[in-house]
Amino acid sequence: MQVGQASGQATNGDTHAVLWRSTIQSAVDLNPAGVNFSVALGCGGMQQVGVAHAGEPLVAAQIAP
Amino acid sequence: MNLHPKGFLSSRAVVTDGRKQTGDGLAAVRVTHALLWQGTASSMVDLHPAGWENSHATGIDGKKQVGYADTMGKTGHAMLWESTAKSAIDLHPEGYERSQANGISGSLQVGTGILNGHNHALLWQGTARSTFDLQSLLPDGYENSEAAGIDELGNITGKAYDKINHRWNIILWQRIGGLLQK
Repeated sequence: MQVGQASGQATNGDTHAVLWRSTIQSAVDLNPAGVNFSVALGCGGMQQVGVAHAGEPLVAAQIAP
Repeated sequence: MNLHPKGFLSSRAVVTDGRKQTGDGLAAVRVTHALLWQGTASSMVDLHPAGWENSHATGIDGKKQVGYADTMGKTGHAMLWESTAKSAIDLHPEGYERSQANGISGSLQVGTGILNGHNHALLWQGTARSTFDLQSLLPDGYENSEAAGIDELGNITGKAYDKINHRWNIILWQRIGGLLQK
């Protein structure tokens, strides 16, 4: 399992936390509802963690796909 | 799940072992505290050790966490916690300019220390006195190294700078027969 962030047309230019399982096709957008910026920083077991914010400030998040 | 704890200006969770989460938060402007969660904002434990201005948690395995603490004008020290601020153990090796722990698995911790201006990948077993310089296992020609993580078998990942070929190489230190080898 790998985590990080991505942005582009699919996210309207916003940065979204993303989860992969070793392939490009496996990408899952982890961005929580109501949030326009999220980044996944780590993963372990079935959990992913990172930061997200809909404005200010940045807040810690535990993200489920 | 929003883990942001009340009273903090911002926060970030940087690593999880699948059950607990750790990271840091801004307790005040330019004051960062290492934090630990168990799935909810209200579960947050402030790991910040007394006597330091800032602390950061970078690794977790079960009940133990690693990271570092620093104070403006004073060097950063690698830290080991057992889920409370009071449990903090200073892992900083004597003679080093600064140190930082990046990963933990069981009783072993890994990270980096600066010695004579160069980064050295380090391994600890719970105390500053247990510090082992992983760079000593690398061939001549490496002048900087960093350890990023360690798995349950004791294998350590990191990188080292090859000053002959002028490039960083990804390094795996493997534990073979109880001994670490490059």
